[in-house]
Amino acid sequence: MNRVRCAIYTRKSSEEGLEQAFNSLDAQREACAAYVLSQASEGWSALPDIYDDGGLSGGSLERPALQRLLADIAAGRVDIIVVYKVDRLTRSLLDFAKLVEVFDKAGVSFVSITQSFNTTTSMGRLTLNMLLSFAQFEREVTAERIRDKIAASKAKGMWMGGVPPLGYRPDGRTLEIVEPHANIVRDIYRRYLDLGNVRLVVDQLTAERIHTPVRRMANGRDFGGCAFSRGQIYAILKNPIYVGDIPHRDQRHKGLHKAIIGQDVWDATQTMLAGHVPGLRRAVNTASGSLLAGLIVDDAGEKLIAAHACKGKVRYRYYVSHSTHHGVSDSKALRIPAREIETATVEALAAAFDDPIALMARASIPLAPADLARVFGAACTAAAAIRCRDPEMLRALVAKVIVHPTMLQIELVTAAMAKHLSVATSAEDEATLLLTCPTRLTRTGHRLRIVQNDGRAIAAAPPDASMIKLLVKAQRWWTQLQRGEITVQELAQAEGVVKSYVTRIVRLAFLAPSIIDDVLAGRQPATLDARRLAFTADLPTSWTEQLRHFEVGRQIS
Amino acid sequence: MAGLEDKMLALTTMSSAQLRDAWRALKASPVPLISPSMLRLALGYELQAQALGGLSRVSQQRLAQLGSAKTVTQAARPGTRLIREWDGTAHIVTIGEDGVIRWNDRAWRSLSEVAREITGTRWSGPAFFGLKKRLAA
Repeated sequence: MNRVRCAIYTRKSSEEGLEQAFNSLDAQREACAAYVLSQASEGWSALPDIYDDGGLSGGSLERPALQRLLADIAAGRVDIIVVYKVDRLTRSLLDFAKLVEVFDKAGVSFVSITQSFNTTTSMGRLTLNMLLSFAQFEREVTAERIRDKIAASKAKGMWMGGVPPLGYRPDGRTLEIVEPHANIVRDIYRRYLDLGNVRLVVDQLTAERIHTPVRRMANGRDFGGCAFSRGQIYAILKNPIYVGDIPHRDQRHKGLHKAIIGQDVWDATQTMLAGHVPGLRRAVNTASGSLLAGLIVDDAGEKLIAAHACKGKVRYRYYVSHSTHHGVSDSKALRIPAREIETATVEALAAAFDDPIALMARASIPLAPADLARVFGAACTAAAAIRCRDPEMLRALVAKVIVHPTMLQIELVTAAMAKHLSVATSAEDEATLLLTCPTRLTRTGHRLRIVQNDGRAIAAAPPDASMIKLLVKAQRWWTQLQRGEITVQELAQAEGVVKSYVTRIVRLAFLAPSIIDDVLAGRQPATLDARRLAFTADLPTSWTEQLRHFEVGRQIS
Repeated sequence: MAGLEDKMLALTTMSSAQLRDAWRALKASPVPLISPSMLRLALGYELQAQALGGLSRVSQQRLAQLGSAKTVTQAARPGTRLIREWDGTAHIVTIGEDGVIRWNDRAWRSLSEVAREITGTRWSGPAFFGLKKRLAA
């Protein structure tokens, strides 16, 4: 009789009652064990491992015991999984499909001892799917109910939990003022109304060593005790809780708690904040345009800020890592001269518009032959405008510029691109196309420079016509000599050249094939030219020696 | 490659008559009327070409074309896109960065194959796509 190894899996959502000596998990396991015992005649035996998930929801698969069980299934240690009810395994239809796939792959089946069905038949699967649909429905309805409850409670002005704002401590379903902390809040509002500048408020607080008070969270951990940040000050100045309201999404309800500041202070503060919206760092509204301001990020996604330094009347523009600019020193921070990266970006963009067909193919915009002339015309105009650094156009086209150590990536807005190519597109407004341009960052002194990768420039050099001419001549003469009917002297006479010239040139027919390939493709090192080919005193016979002689394959790397 | 190295080494000490014998043995064609030193170079080339492979077909064709000096064919460089209008349709062929010719969501062995598929007759692919140009007379 085959031995069937049964793993018993138990789960319970809430932690209530788990501390009891005999809890729901034990009850589930006992019921399952009894069922396994009843099938002993079939060879079933329960595995000693215990797979218990106490206090974990069935909505996710991120449960330690379940993951352990899945690992054991993958290792082939389990034949059947026994559960009390199917929803112990999962409540989500999607997760269930995933689990069934894993089970099928491992040849494992599962049994729910209180709901009997057979998943090998279509009817059984239908029953199971219905069951799980209801389980998921229940879950979603519960979530909805909780959301509605929170909204309704907040409409009544209740405090629905979370970290209470500075100046308050939670008091049941409302907040109670903590007077010393409330004084700090009032002080911050007063300072802001005096100074009209959050940065100066932070500087003052830091100078006077007024720190965030140490508070204790519900889980017993302490936080606070450090300097106020600008973000914290903004959050305090904008928090309607301080004027006695409870915010819920975009609504505000009258709260049950007492206000810390008066309505007049609140109104004055909000008016001042609204009037002090920071000016947009944009190319279009600055005099010396930092074209890529607000668009450029480093490879970790950190924003680079348009910054400048002045020396006399000269303005040196840079794009600087956000953290560096705000005084946090970081060895990986970037400080890139603006002109260089702008030129690289503009050139890459313009080059893309120089080849509109490729651009359209990448954006999968179909091209009708009748449109060819129009598209090329529009692309030409667009490329010219880009090279003139038309800021409006660049900002419309470029969604983001990402600076990597070895390349520059430009996210091109597909819709704007299609507009400038005068073609229609079905792409969504936010769709982008990634252009990659091989540049690398080089550190000279303290700042980074951008260098065009020269690997391509070498490959793109046109082949040297005079060298190719010599090679062609060598092949032609050697073909004639090879027939054995003509001497070198006669050949020289027929060609109207001296004999020694023929001798020198014919030798080039015996050049290593790789050297000829390189010359034909224009890949030869810069030191190799027609003169050198024609006047090499002693051409070595061995190809390896020839390569060494001409240093081919060394300079290109 | 010990065999090749030995043969190459032997070349350096061969007399004129031995070199001619070696040529006859290798090529089964008349011995060129050239100096022993050049014959040594030629023999060295043939030995190495036999052992290591000679000039690639592409390079041979290119040299022959340049020698006849009537047409010139540009190489289809990786990353190029070729457009040819035929029968009112613009056909776009891409040469991938890997050098593979792609058209109609398929990889093709040569431009000529693509040209044949488009027109239904045999065409020189480079000529069809405008890579091959007649040189000004």
